[in-house]
Amino acid sequence: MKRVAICAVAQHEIKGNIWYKRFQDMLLDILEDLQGETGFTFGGENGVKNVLTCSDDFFDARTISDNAVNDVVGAANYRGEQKMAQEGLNGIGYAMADILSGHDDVIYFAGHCKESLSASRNQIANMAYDPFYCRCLGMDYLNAAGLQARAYMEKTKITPEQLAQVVVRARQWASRNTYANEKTQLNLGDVMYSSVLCDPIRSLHAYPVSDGAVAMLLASEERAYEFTDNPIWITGFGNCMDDYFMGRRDLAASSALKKAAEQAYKMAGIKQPRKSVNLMEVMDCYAYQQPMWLEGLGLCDEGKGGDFINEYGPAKYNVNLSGGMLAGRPLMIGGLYGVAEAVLQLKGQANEHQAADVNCAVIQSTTGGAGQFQTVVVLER
Amino acid sequence: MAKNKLNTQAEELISIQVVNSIDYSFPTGPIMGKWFQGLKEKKFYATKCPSCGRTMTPPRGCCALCVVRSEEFVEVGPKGTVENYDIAYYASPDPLTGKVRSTPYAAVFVRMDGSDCDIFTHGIKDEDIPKLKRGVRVRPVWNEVRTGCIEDMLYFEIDA
Repeated sequence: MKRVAICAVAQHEIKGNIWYKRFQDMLLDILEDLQGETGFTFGGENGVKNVLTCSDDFFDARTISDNAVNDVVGAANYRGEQKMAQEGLNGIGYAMADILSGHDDVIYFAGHCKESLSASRNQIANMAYDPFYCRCLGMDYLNAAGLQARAYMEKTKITPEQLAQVVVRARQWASRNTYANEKTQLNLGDVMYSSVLCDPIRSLHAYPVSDGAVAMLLASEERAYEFTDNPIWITGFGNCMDDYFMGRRDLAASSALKKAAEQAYKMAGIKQPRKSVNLMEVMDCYAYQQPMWLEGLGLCDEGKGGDFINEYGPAKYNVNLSGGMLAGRPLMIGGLYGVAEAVLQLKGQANEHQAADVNCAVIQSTTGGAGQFQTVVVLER
Repeated sequence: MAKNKLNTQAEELISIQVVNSIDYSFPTGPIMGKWFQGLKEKKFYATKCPSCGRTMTPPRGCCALCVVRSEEFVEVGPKGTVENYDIAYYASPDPLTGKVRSTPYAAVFVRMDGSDCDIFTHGIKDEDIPKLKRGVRVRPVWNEVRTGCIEDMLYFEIDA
Protein backbone atom coordinates (compact mmCIF):
# COMPACT_ATOMS: atom_id res chain seq x y z
CA MET A 1 0.00 0.00 0.00
CA LYS A 2 1.14 3.53 -0.74
CA ARG A 3 2.15 5.59 2.25
CA VAL A 4 1.56 9.18 3.26
CA ALA A 5 4.14 11.12 5.27
CA ILE A 6 4.09 14.04 7.64
CA CYS A 7 7.29 15.76 6.55
CA ALA A 8 7.49 18.52 9.14
CA VAL A 9 5.43 20.40 11.73
CA ALA A 10 5.35 23.95 13.08
CA GLN A 11 3.74 24.95 16.37
CA HIS A 12 2.85 28.40 17.58
CA GLU A 13 3.62 28.92 21.23
CA ILE A 14 0.40 28.42 23.22
CA LYS A 15 -0.71 31.20 25.56
CA GLY A 16 -3.82 31.99 27.53
CA ASN A 17 -4.46 35.21 25.61
CA ILE A 18 -2.39 36.16 22.57
CA TRP A 19 -3.98 39.62 22.57
CA TYR A 20 -1.17 41.13 20.51
CA LYS A 21 -1.78 39.04 17.40
CA ARG A 22 -4.69 38.20 15.14
CA PHE A 23 -5.02 34.51 14.35
CA GLN A 24 -3.94 35.45 10.83
CA ASP A 25 -0.65 36.76 12.25
CA MET A 26 -0.17 33.48 14.11
CA LEU A 27 -0.80 31.47 10.95
CA LEU A 28 1.72 33.52 8.98
CA ASP A 29 4.36 32.90 11.66
CA ILE A 30 4.01 29.11 11.48
CA LEU A 31 3.81 29.14 7.68
CA GLU A 32 7.17 30.90 7.57
CA ASP A 33 8.61 28.45 10.10
CA LEU A 34 7.51 25.47 8.05
CA GLN A 35 8.69 26.93 4.74
CA GLY A 36 12.02 27.69 6.38
CA GLU A 37 12.38 24.09 7.50
CA THR A 38 11.21 22.34 4.34
CA GLY A 39 11.62 24.86 1.52
CA PHE A 40 8.15 24.17 0.12
CA THR A 41 6.46 26.80 -2.06
CA PHE A 42 3.03 27.44 -3.52
CA GLY A 43 2.18 27.17 -7.19
CA GLY A 44 4.40 26.16 -10.06
CA GLU A 45 5.07 22.61 -11.13
CA ASN A 46 6.12 21.29 -7.71
CA GLY A 47 4.42 23.73 -5.38
CA VAL A 48 1.52 23.10 -3.04
CA LYS A 49 -1.72 23.25 -5.03
CA ASN A 50 -4.15 22.34 -2.31
CA VAL A 51 -4.43 23.60 1.24
CA LEU A 52 -6.27 22.19 4.22
CA THR A 53 -7.28 24.32 7.19
CA CYS A 54 -8.98 23.74 10.51
CA SER A 55 -10.91 26.40 12.40
CA ASP A 56 -14.23 26.95 14.10
CA ASP A 57 -16.91 29.43 13.01
CA PHE A 58 -18.01 30.26 16.54
CA PHE A 59 -14.52 30.71 17.95
CA ASP A 60 -13.64 32.94 15.00
CA ALA A 61 -17.04 34.70 15.12
CA ARG A 62 -17.66 34.40 11.41
CA THR A 63 -19.24 31.83 9.21
CA ILE A 64 -17.09 29.87 6.74
CA SER A 65 -14.17 30.83 8.95
CA ASP A 66 -11.55 29.49 6.52
CA ASN A 67 -12.37 32.23 4.00
CA ALA A 68 -10.78 34.81 6.30
CA VAL A 69 -7.36 33.13 6.48
CA ASN A 70 -6.79 32.18 2.85
CA ASP A 71 -3.88 34.58 2.26
CA VAL A 72 -1.83 33.42 5.24
CA VAL A 73 -2.19 29.75 4.30
CA GLY A 74 -1.23 30.36 0.68
CA ALA A 75 -4.66 29.66 -0.78
CA ALA A 76 -5.80 33.11 -1.87
CA ASN A 77 -4.23 33.16 -5.30
CA TYR A 78 -6.48 30.58 -6.94
CA ARG A 79 -5.45 27.45 -5.10
CA GLY A 80 -7.69 24.73 -3.72
CA GLU A 81 -8.62 24.89 -0.06
CA GLN A 82 -10.78 22.77 2.21
CA LYS A 83 -11.65 23.25 5.84
CA MET A 84 -11.89 20.59 8.46
CA ALA A 85 -14.85 21.81 10.52
CA GLN A 86 -14.17 19.16 13.14
CA GLU A 87 -11.36 18.49 15.57
CA GLY A 88 -8.16 19.01 13.56
CA LEU A 89 -6.93 15.44 13.92
CA ASN A 90 -9.56 14.44 11.37
CA GLY A 91 -7.70 16.56 8.85
CA ILE A 92 -4.89 13.99 8.95
CA GLY A 93 -7.31 11.42 7.55
CA TYR A 94 -8.65 13.93 5.06
CA ALA A 95 -5.19 14.89 3.77
CA MET A 96 -4.21 11.24 3.62
CA ALA A 97 -7.28 10.42 1.50
CA ASP A 98 -6.50 13.37 -0.77
CA ILE A 99 -2.96 12.12 -1.39
CA LEU A 100 -3.80 8.39 -1.63
CA SER A 101 -6.51 9.15 -4.19
CA GLY A 102 -3.84 10.72 -6.39
CA HIS A 103 -5.63 14.08 -6.37
CA ASP A 104 -2.63 15.79 -4.73
CA ASP A 105 0.86 14.79 -3.72
CA VAL A 106 1.66 17.58 -1.25
CA ILE A 107 -0.74 19.21 1.21
CA TYR A 108 -0.16 22.20 3.47
CA PHE A 109 -2.35 21.86 6.57
CA ALA A 110 -2.80 24.66 9.12
CA GLY A 111 -5.20 24.95 12.04
CA HIS A 112 -5.86 27.74 14.51
CA CYS A 113 -8.06 28.50 17.49
CA LYS A 114 -8.10 31.44 19.87
CA GLU A 115 -10.28 30.60 22.81
CA SER A 116 -9.53 34.04 24.24
CA LEU A 117 -11.56 35.88 21.58
CA SER A 118 -14.76 35.08 23.42
CA ALA A 119 -15.37 36.37 26.91
CA SER A 120 -15.92 32.74 27.91
CA ARG A 121 -15.28 29.64 25.84
CA ASN A 122 -18.29 28.16 27.63
CA GLN A 123 -20.46 30.61 25.67
CA ILE A 124 -19.13 28.99 22.50
CA ALA A 125 -19.58 25.45 23.77
CA ASN A 126 -23.13 26.32 24.81
CA MET A 127 -23.84 26.88 21.10
CA ALA A 128 -22.95 23.26 20.44
CA TYR A 129 -26.22 22.29 22.11
CA ASP A 130 -29.78 22.41 20.83
CA PRO A 131 -31.67 25.68 21.40
CA PHE A 132 -34.76 23.93 22.80
CA TYR A 133 -33.63 21.85 25.76
CA CYS A 134 -29.96 22.12 26.61
CA ARG A 135 -28.78 25.57 25.55
CA CYS A 136 -31.25 27.36 27.81
CA LEU A 137 -30.16 25.21 30.75
CA GLY A 138 -26.57 26.39 30.32
CA MET A 139 -25.26 23.08 29.00
CA ASP A 140 -21.71 23.33 27.66
CA TYR A 141 -18.63 21.10 27.43
CA LEU A 142 -17.74 21.76 31.07
CA ASN A 143 -21.20 20.68 32.28
CA ALA A 144 -21.12 17.64 29.99
CA ALA A 145 -17.72 16.73 31.36
CA GLY A 146 -19.10 17.09 34.90
CA LEU A 147 -21.78 14.51 34.12
CA GLN A 148 -19.23 12.20 32.55
CA ALA A 149 -16.70 12.65 35.35
CA ARG A 150 -19.29 11.63 37.94
CA ALA A 151 -20.30 8.56 35.92
CA TYR A 152 -16.69 7.54 35.32
CA MET A 153 -15.59 8.11 38.91
CA GLU A 154 -18.46 6.04 40.27
CA LYS A 155 -17.76 3.22 37.83
CA THR A 156 -14.01 3.06 38.37
CA LYS A 157 -13.73 4.32 41.96
CA ILE A 158 -10.85 6.48 40.78
CA THR A 159 -9.81 8.75 43.66
CA PRO A 160 -9.30 12.53 43.85
CA GLU A 161 -5.62 11.82 44.63
CA GLN A 162 -5.23 9.84 41.42
CA LEU A 163 -6.88 12.58 39.36
CA ALA A 164 -4.62 15.13 41.02
CA GLN A 165 -1.60 13.03 40.06
CA VAL A 166 -2.63 13.30 36.41
CA VAL A 167 -2.62 17.11 36.61
CA VAL A 168 0.61 17.39 38.61
CA ARG A 169 2.39 15.14 36.11
CA ALA A 170 1.03 17.14 33.15
CA ARG A 171 2.49 20.35 34.54
CA GLN A 172 5.84 18.65 35.20
CA TRP A 173 6.14 17.60 31.56
CA ALA A 174 4.82 20.94 30.30
CA SER A 175 7.72 22.68 31.99
CA ARG A 176 10.04 20.94 29.50
CA ASN A 177 7.96 21.78 26.43
CA THR A 178 8.75 25.09 24.70
CA TYR A 179 5.25 25.40 23.25
CA ALA A 180 3.19 24.49 26.34
CA ASN A 181 0.88 27.09 27.87
CA GLU A 182 0.59 26.54 31.64
CA LYS A 183 3.85 25.53 33.31
CA THR A 184 3.10 26.50 36.91
CA GLN A 185 4.09 23.54 39.07
CA LEU A 186 1.48 22.09 41.40
CA ASN A 187 1.24 19.66 44.28
CA LEU A 188 -1.59 17.21 44.89
CA GLY A 189 -3.28 19.47 47.42
CA ASP A 190 -3.34 22.41 45.00
CA VAL A 191 -5.42 20.32 42.60
CA MET A 192 -7.58 18.51 45.16
CA TYR A 193 -8.64 21.71 46.90
CA SER A 194 -8.83 24.06 43.91
CA SER A 195 -12.19 25.80 43.49
CA VAL A 196 -15.10 23.74 42.21
CA LEU A 197 -16.09 24.57 38.62
CA CYS A 198 -18.76 22.00 38.04
CA ASP A 199 -18.86 19.27 40.65
CA PRO A 200 -16.91 16.93 40.59
CA ILE A 201 -14.64 18.97 38.28
CA ARG A 202 -12.40 21.48 40.02
CA SER A 203 -10.64 24.37 38.34
CA LEU A 204 -7.26 22.60 38.14
CA HIS A 205 -8.91 19.52 36.64
CA ALA A 206 -9.82 21.63 33.60
CA TYR A 207 -7.53 22.67 30.76
CA PRO A 208 -6.53 26.36 30.80
CA VAL A 209 -7.96 28.79 28.24
CA SER A 210 -5.59 28.62 25.29
CA ASP A 211 -4.72 30.26 21.96
CA GLY A 212 -2.59 28.48 19.38
CA ALA A 213 -1.93 27.46 15.80
CA VAL A 214 -0.31 24.40 14.23
CA ALA A 215 0.88 23.67 10.70
CA MET A 216 2.29 20.65 8.92
CA LEU A 217 3.35 19.50 5.49
CA LEU A 218 2.09 16.15 4.24
CA ALA A 219 3.33 14.39 1.12
CA SER A 220 3.19 11.18 -0.85
CA GLU A 221 5.99 8.67 -0.33
CA GLU A 222 7.43 9.64 -3.73
CA ARG A 223 7.79 13.30 -2.79
CA ALA A 224 8.29 13.24 0.99
CA TYR A 225 12.09 13.14 0.80
CA GLU A 226 12.14 16.45 -1.10
CA PHE A 227 11.15 18.07 2.19
CA THR A 228 12.72 15.94 4.93
CA ASP A 229 15.26 13.19 5.51
CA ASN A 230 13.10 11.45 8.10
CA PRO A 231 9.42 11.43 7.16
CA ILE A 232 6.89 10.16 9.69
CA TRP A 233 4.30 7.78 8.26
CA ILE A 234 0.58 7.84 8.88
CA THR A 235 -0.17 4.16 9.33
CA GLY A 236 -3.56 4.22 11.04
CA PHE A 237 -6.65 6.41 11.10
CA GLY A 238 -10.13 5.95 12.50
CA ASN A 239 -12.99 8.03 13.83
CA CYS A 240 -16.38 7.34 15.33
CA MET A 241 -19.46 9.31 16.40
CA ASP A 242 -21.63 8.75 19.47
CA ASP A 243 -25.17 10.07 20.04
CA TYR A 244 -25.73 13.82 20.26
CA PHE A 245 -28.26 13.16 23.05
CA MET A 246 -26.27 12.44 26.15
CA GLY A 247 -29.17 10.72 27.86
CA ARG A 248 -28.88 7.83 25.44
CA ARG A 249 -25.16 7.37 25.96
CA ASP A 250 -23.27 5.34 28.51
CA LEU A 251 -21.10 8.26 29.54
CA ALA A 252 -18.67 6.10 31.55
CA ALA A 253 -17.86 3.88 28.55
CA SER A 254 -15.72 5.15 25.70
CA SER A 255 -17.81 3.34 23.10
CA ALA A 256 -17.01 5.68 20.19
CA LEU A 257 -13.33 5.78 21.09
CA LYS A 258 -13.09 1.98 21.15
CA LYS A 259 -14.48 1.83 17.62
CA ALA A 260 -12.20 4.60 16.37
CA ALA A 261 -9.18 2.90 17.94
CA GLU A 262 -10.19 -0.47 16.51
CA GLN A 263 -10.24 1.03 12.99
CA ALA A 264 -6.92 2.80 13.42
CA TYR A 265 -5.15 -0.23 14.94
CA LYS A 266 -6.50 -2.53 12.23
CA MET A 267 -5.25 -0.22 9.49
CA ALA A 268 -1.85 0.00 11.17
CA GLY A 269 -1.72 -3.78 11.67
CA ILE A 270 -1.54 -3.36 15.44
CA LYS A 271 -2.98 -6.40 17.23
CA GLN A 272 -1.73 -5.66 20.73
CA PRO A 273 -1.43 -1.92 21.32
CA ARG A 274 0.15 -2.48 24.74
CA LYS A 275 3.09 -4.15 23.01
CA SER A 276 3.31 -1.95 19.91
CA VAL A 277 2.60 1.60 21.04
CA ASN A 278 5.26 3.52 22.92
CA LEU A 279 3.96 7.09 22.85
CA MET A 280 0.46 8.44 23.46
CA GLU A 281 -1.00 11.92 23.00
CA VAL A 282 -4.53 12.00 24.37
CA MET A 283 -6.89 14.97 24.49
CA ASP A 284 -7.41 15.25 28.23
CA CYS A 285 -9.45 18.45 28.52
CA TYR A 286 -10.32 17.33 32.06
CA ALA A 287 -8.21 15.18 34.35
CA TYR A 288 -10.59 12.19 34.44
CA GLN A 289 -10.38 11.99 30.63
CA GLN A 290 -6.75 10.90 30.52
CA PRO A 291 -7.34 7.50 32.21
CA MET A 292 -10.74 7.21 30.55
CA TRP A 293 -9.40 7.70 27.03
CA LEU A 294 -6.51 5.33 27.78
CA GLU A 295 -9.09 2.69 28.67
CA GLY A 296 -10.86 3.33 25.39
CA LEU A 297 -7.56 3.08 23.51
CA GLY A 298 -6.92 -0.33 25.08
CA LEU A 299 -3.83 0.75 27.02
CA CYS A 300 -5.43 -0.19 30.30
CA ASP A 301 -8.26 -2.51 31.32
CA GLU A 302 -11.83 -1.21 31.35
CA GLY A 303 -12.64 0.45 34.65
CA LYS A 304 -9.04 0.22 35.85
CA GLY A 305 -7.91 3.77 35.09
CA GLY A 306 -7.05 4.38 38.76
CA ASP A 307 -4.87 1.27 39.02
CA PHE A 308 -3.19 2.29 35.78
CA ILE A 309 -2.11 5.55 37.40
CA ASN A 310 -0.88 3.77 40.54
CA GLU A 311 1.15 1.37 38.40
CA TYR A 312 2.89 4.21 36.51
CA GLY A 313 1.04 3.40 33.27
CA PRO A 314 1.30 6.99 31.98
CA ALA A 315 5.09 6.86 32.37
CA LYS A 316 5.35 3.39 30.83
CA TYR A 317 3.51 4.42 27.66
CA ASN A 318 4.96 7.95 27.49
CA VAL A 319 1.50 9.52 27.81
CA ASN A 320 1.36 13.26 27.03
CA LEU A 321 5.02 14.12 27.42
CA SER A 322 4.05 17.48 25.93
CA GLY A 323 1.90 18.25 28.97
CA GLY A 324 -1.22 17.51 26.89
CA MET A 325 -4.45 19.46 27.04
CA LEU A 326 -4.14 19.81 30.82
CA ALA A 327 -1.17 22.10 30.28
CA GLY A 328 -3.26 24.16 27.83
CA ARG A 329 -4.09 23.59 24.21
CA PRO A 330 -6.97 25.16 22.34
CA LEU A 331 -10.06 23.16 21.52
CA MET A 332 -10.40 22.17 17.83
CA ILE A 333 -6.64 21.81 17.33
CA GLY A 334 -5.67 19.92 20.49
CA GLY A 335 -5.27 16.79 18.36
CA LEU A 336 -3.09 18.63 15.86
CA TYR A 337 -0.79 19.73 18.66
CA GLY A 338 -0.74 16.05 19.63
CA VAL A 339 0.38 15.16 16.11
CA ALA A 340 3.05 17.86 16.18
CA GLU A 341 4.37 16.50 19.49
CA ALA A 342 4.33 12.88 18.24
CA VAL A 343 6.14 13.84 15.02
CA LEU A 344 8.89 15.59 16.99
CA GLN A 345 9.19 12.58 19.32
CA LEU A 346 9.38 10.13 16.40
CA LYS A 347 12.01 12.29 14.70
CA GLY A 348 13.99 12.55 17.94
CA GLN A 349 13.55 16.33 18.00
CA ALA A 350 11.55 16.79 21.19
CA ASN A 351 14.56 18.20 23.02
CA GLU A 352 14.06 18.37 26.79
CA HIS A 353 11.03 16.09 26.81
CA GLN A 354 12.33 13.55 24.29
CA ALA A 355 11.48 9.93 25.14
CA ALA A 356 13.83 7.07 24.28
CA ASP A 357 13.18 4.67 21.39
CA VAL A 358 9.83 5.99 20.15
CA ASN A 359 8.75 4.27 16.95
CA CYS A 360 4.96 4.02 17.18
CA ALA A 361 2.79 6.87 18.45
CA VAL A 362 -0.97 7.07 18.92
CA ILE A 363 -2.83 10.38 18.95
CA GLN A 364 -6.43 10.67 20.15
CA SER A 365 -8.73 13.68 19.97
CA THR A 366 -12.36 14.48 20.60
CA THR A 367 -15.05 17.08 19.99
CA GLY A 368 -18.61 17.39 21.16
CA GLY A 369 -19.78 17.14 24.75
CA ALA A 370 -18.21 14.40 26.88
CA GLY A 371 -16.19 12.87 24.06
CA GLN A 372 -19.08 12.47 21.63
CA PHE A 373 -16.87 12.25 18.55
CA GLN A 374 -13.53 10.45 18.72
CA THR A 375 -10.55 10.27 16.37
CA VAL A 376 -7.42 8.13 16.53
CA VAL A 377 -4.27 8.38 14.42
CA VAL A 378 -1.24 6.07 14.41
CA LEU A 379 2.12 7.47 13.36
CA GLU A 380 5.31 5.50 12.83
CA ARG A 381 8.82 6.37 11.80
CA MET B 1 -50.47 13.56 -0.20
CA ALA B 2 -47.32 13.94 1.83
CA LYS B 3 -47.36 17.67 1.20
CA ASN B 4 -50.91 18.03 2.50
CA LYS B 5 -50.02 16.13 5.62
CA LEU B 6 -47.09 18.46 6.27
CA ASN B 7 -49.28 21.54 5.82
CA THR B 8 -51.81 20.29 8.36
CA GLN B 9 -49.05 19.62 10.87
CA ALA B 10 -47.40 22.99 10.27
CA GLU B 11 -50.46 24.78 11.63
CA GLU B 12 -50.00 22.98 14.93
CA LEU B 13 -46.25 23.57 15.24
CA ILE B 14 -44.77 26.24 17.39
CA SER B 15 -41.36 27.83 17.14
CA ILE B 16 -39.19 29.37 19.80
CA GLN B 17 -37.61 32.80 19.39
CA VAL B 18 -33.98 32.88 20.57
CA VAL B 19 -31.37 35.63 20.46
CA ASN B 20 -27.88 34.18 20.67
CA SER B 21 -25.29 36.54 22.02
CA ILE B 22 -21.59 35.95 22.63
CA ASP B 23 -19.18 38.59 23.90
CA TYR B 24 -16.00 38.82 21.85
CA SER B 25 -12.91 40.96 21.75
CA PHE B 26 -10.96 41.06 18.48
CA PRO B 27 -7.29 42.00 18.52
CA THR B 28 -6.14 44.10 15.58
CA GLY B 29 -2.55 42.86 15.60
CA PRO B 30 0.27 45.22 14.61
CA ILE B 31 -0.76 45.72 10.96
CA MET B 32 -4.42 46.62 11.42
CA GLY B 33 -3.39 48.39 14.60
CA LYS B 34 -1.27 50.79 12.55
CA TRP B 35 -4.24 51.42 10.24
CA PHE B 36 -6.56 52.33 13.11
CA GLN B 37 -3.88 54.45 14.76
CA GLY B 38 -3.60 56.23 11.40
CA LEU B 39 -7.35 56.96 11.25
CA LYS B 40 -7.05 58.63 14.63
CA GLU B 41 -4.49 60.97 13.02
CA LYS B 42 -6.52 61.38 9.78
CA LYS B 43 -4.04 59.25 7.85
CA PHE B 44 -4.41 56.14 5.71
CA TYR B 45 -1.66 53.54 5.82
CA ALA B 46 -1.18 50.76 3.28
CA THR B 47 1.36 47.96 3.27
CA LYS B 48 3.68 47.34 0.36
CA CYS B 49 4.58 43.83 -0.77
CA PRO B 50 8.39 43.37 -0.75
CA SER B 51 8.09 40.93 -3.63
CA CYS B 52 5.64 42.37 -6.19
CA GLY B 53 5.61 45.94 -4.85
CA ARG B 54 1.85 46.39 -4.79
CA THR B 55 0.28 48.48 -2.03
CA MET B 56 -2.64 47.09 -0.07
CA THR B 57 -5.35 49.23 1.52
CA PRO B 58 -6.36 48.56 4.24
CA PRO B 59 -2.96 47.09 5.01
CA ARG B 60 -2.53 43.34 4.97
CA GLY B 61 0.34 41.60 6.74
CA CYS B 62 0.72 39.07 3.96
CA CYS B 63 0.60 39.59 0.21
CA ALA B 64 -1.97 37.06 -0.93
CA LEU B 65 -0.42 36.81 -4.41
CA CYS B 66 3.19 36.24 -3.36
CA VAL B 67 2.43 34.64 0.06
CA VAL B 68 5.11 36.75 1.74
CA ARG B 69 5.07 38.91 4.85
CA SER B 70 4.39 42.59 4.04
CA GLU B 71 5.24 44.98 6.82
CA GLU B 72 6.45 48.12 5.05
CA PHE B 73 3.94 50.93 5.46
CA VAL B 74 3.25 53.69 2.95
CA GLU B 75 0.76 56.53 3.35
CA VAL B 76 -2.04 56.66 0.76
CA GLY B 77 -5.00 58.97 0.06
CA PRO B 78 -6.64 60.87 1.60
CA LYS B 79 -8.56 61.23 -1.67
CA GLY B 80 -9.54 58.39 -3.91
CA THR B 81 -11.65 57.25 -6.83
CA VAL B 82 -14.93 55.37 -6.64
CA GLU B 83 -14.46 52.05 -8.43
CA ASN B 84 -17.79 50.51 -7.53
CA TYR B 85 -20.77 51.06 -5.24
CA ASP B 86 -24.09 49.63 -4.22
CA ILE B 87 -27.20 51.35 -2.88
CA ALA B 88 -29.32 49.52 -0.33
CA TYR B 89 -33.07 50.15 -0.33
CA TYR B 90 -33.90 47.24 1.96
CA ALA B 91 -32.09 47.20 5.29
CA SER B 92 -31.94 44.08 7.43
CA PRO B 93 -32.68 44.70 11.09
CA ASP B 94 -29.79 44.55 13.53
CA PRO B 95 -30.20 41.06 15.03
CA LEU B 96 -29.52 42.19 18.58
CA THR B 97 -31.32 45.56 18.77
CA GLY B 98 -33.96 45.09 16.08
CA LYS B 99 -33.15 48.61 14.80
CA VAL B 100 -33.23 49.21 11.07
CA ARG B 101 -30.97 51.70 9.29
CA SER B 102 -32.65 54.43 7.30
CA THR B 103 -32.55 53.84 3.56
CA PRO B 104 -31.21 54.39 1.03
CA TYR B 105 -27.59 54.04 2.06
CA ALA B 106 -24.58 53.16 -0.02
CA ALA B 107 -21.28 51.32 0.25
CA VAL B 108 -18.53 52.69 -1.98
CA PHE B 109 -15.41 50.86 -3.09
CA VAL B 110 -12.67 53.47 -3.20
CA ARG B 111 -9.21 53.07 -4.68
CA MET B 112 -7.16 55.42 -2.51
CA ASP B 113 -4.63 57.64 -4.31
CA GLY B 114 -1.26 55.89 -4.24
CA SER B 115 -2.76 52.45 -3.70
CA ASP B 116 -2.59 50.25 -6.75
CA CYS B 117 -4.62 47.32 -5.57
CA ASP B 118 -7.21 46.36 -2.99
CA ILE B 119 -10.08 48.69 -2.44
CA PHE B 120 -11.18 50.36 0.76
CA THR B 121 -14.90 50.21 1.54
CA HIS B 122 -16.80 52.84 3.50
CA GLY B 123 -20.04 54.78 3.34
CA ILE B 124 -20.90 57.90 1.34
CA LYS B 125 -22.67 61.03 2.51
CA ASP B 126 -26.44 60.62 2.01
CA GLU B 127 -26.77 63.76 -0.11
CA ASP B 128 -24.11 62.44 -2.52
CA ILE B 129 -25.86 59.13 -3.21
CA PRO B 130 -27.75 60.46 -6.27
CA LYS B 131 -24.47 61.75 -7.73
CA LEU B 132 -22.61 58.44 -7.39
CA LYS B 133 -21.01 56.98 -10.46
CA ARG B 134 -17.90 55.00 -11.17
CA GLY B 135 -14.82 57.16 -11.49
CA VAL B 136 -16.09 60.00 -9.29
CA ARG B 137 -13.51 61.52 -6.94
CA VAL B 138 -14.12 61.39 -3.18
CA ARG B 139 -12.51 62.68 0.02
CA PRO B 140 -12.93 61.52 3.63
CA VAL B 141 -15.07 63.32 6.20
CA TRP B 142 -13.64 62.82 9.67
CA ASN B 143 -15.35 62.41 12.99
CA GLU B 144 -14.39 65.12 15.46
CA VAL B 145 -13.81 62.53 18.17
CA ARG B 146 -11.47 59.80 16.93
CA THR B 147 -10.61 56.77 19.02
CA GLY B 148 -8.89 54.43 16.56
CA CYS B 149 -11.86 52.65 15.01
CA ILE B 150 -13.66 52.63 11.65
CA GLU B 151 -16.13 55.29 12.87
CA ASP B 152 -13.21 57.75 13.07
CA MET B 153 -14.12 58.41 9.47
CA LEU B 154 -17.81 59.31 9.06
CA TYR B 155 -18.03 58.65 5.33
CA PHE B 156 -16.68 59.78 1.99
CA GLU B 157 -18.07 62.80 0.18
CA ILE B 158 -17.75 63.76 -3.45
CA ASP B 159 -14.69 65.93 -4.01
CA ALA B 160 -16.16 68.69 -6.10
